[in-house]
Amino acid sequence: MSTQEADLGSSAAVALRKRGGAGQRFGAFLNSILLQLIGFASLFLVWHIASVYIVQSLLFPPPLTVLKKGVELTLSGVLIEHTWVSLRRIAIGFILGSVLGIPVGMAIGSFPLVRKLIEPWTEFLRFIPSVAMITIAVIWFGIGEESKIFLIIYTTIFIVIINTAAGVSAIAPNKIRAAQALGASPGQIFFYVGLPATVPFILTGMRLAMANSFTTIVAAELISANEGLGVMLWNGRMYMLIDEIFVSLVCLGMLGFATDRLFRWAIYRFAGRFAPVT
Amino acid sequence: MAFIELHDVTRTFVSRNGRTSVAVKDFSLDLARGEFFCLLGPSGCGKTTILSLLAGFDHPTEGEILLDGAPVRNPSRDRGVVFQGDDSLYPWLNAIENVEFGLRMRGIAKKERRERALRYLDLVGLKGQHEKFPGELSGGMKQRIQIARALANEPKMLLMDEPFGALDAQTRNIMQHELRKIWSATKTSIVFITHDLDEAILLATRVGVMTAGPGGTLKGVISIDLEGERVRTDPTYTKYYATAYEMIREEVARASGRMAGEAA
Repeated sequence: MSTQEADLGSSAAVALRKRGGAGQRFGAFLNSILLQLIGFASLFLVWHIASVYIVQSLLFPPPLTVLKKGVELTLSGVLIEHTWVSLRRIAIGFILGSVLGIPVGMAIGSFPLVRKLIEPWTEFLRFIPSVAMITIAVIWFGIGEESKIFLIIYTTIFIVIINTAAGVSAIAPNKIRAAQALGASPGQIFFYVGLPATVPFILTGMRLAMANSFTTIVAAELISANEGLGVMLWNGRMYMLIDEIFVSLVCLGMLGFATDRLFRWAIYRFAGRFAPVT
Repeated sequence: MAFIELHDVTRTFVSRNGRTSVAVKDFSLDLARGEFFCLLGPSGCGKTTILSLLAGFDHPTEGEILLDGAPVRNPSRDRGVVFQGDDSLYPWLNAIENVEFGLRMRGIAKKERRERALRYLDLVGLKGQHEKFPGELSGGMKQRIQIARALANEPKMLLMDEPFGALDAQTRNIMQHELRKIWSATKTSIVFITHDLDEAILLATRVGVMTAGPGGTLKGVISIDLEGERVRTDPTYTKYYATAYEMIREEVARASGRMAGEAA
């Protein structure tokens, strides 16, 4: 009887703890979301105050005007079209650049011979910014999609290569030795040890490359393109459409923020378990 | 023909500035099947080099190592290895997936390898912790996973490189007794590297004492004839301790003298 009581008591305690845990988690969630919302609100508030009370110029529209313009451009489909074009270019170039960069990085990290052969390429080209490559890309590939995708690949590939190679070099030798002593073949060691151990580094490289892709696509579209957020910015300058410039700036900020959040979530979700033991 | 034979094994390394240093010199030893052999020596005597050579991670400069009469060339699943730290575990796999890694590489069906991995996890006392990832486990538990991982592969022998060196005294004590039990249950041959005299006498059927490095070699071997569970207060235990202590004291003094010389 007494043991039963004790059991009941302990299970009640567990349930209570659990509820407390859930409550705490909810509180923490609310806390982080709430703080972020306040952070965002303050950004727009400062903007509003600066625009309406301090600058008081047509050249610096307040958030509400920009919002109105944004809604208008969204309803007419113009904003969606430009955003979609830019995003598609980034996505294709980014995916191709990563798909090409990961195996090259793995090879550099795995084989000293390959490192010596390829490193001059990566070490030389990564210092030529993708923005500097815009002119030649347009001359080679025209002002259509090809030049933009080339530039995004260019801006993605080196960061992914370097991070992947660094990840391979960072694998503890004992991980490889353990696999050897367990009877794994070199191919198995590559796929079951080398690759998963490198995933966090690859994802970090991709996240950095994504930020660069935004820079590159805007610059490329500013210089030569028919559509895209960069074109919207350029047209805004040409025809003094200040509101449209602001809409596209806000749009870029939101897209960047969203993709970065998506990446962080993916790293957490898929690579949480790949994170090195600390 | 002994189970393991080391014939005049010498390993020298060439450093970056071109100087050669001798890690191990003329090391000879025969091991029988089912032995629990502890290799004891001061730091820098080359005992880890011996383990690397036995595992096949490294090769002797001179001499040879034979397992069942065949030379040891590369790492193989004949010789399971338990490392000192936890950096050999795969943090992206949970406990049971780590343990069944070798079986998976060999293409053993999932059901069978699960059963086998579970059996060895139970043997090392990790019942009910299968789903946990290495990052969620304590140092002692991680070493248990390493031992289970090596044993699940059913190697001919187990090579252990100061596996309890990084654990706290309490945990180390528990692990020593558990390892002794596991060895009694499986009768796997073990070569166990340690610099801890007490640990060696607690565990081994034979203790090999190495001379101080550089160019360490085997100074002598003591057979420990103590049946069953070993207790430190047993007078026979104390006697062995004294004998081994006498052997190693001089070497430790030499090793620390050398280090003091290097530091000066």
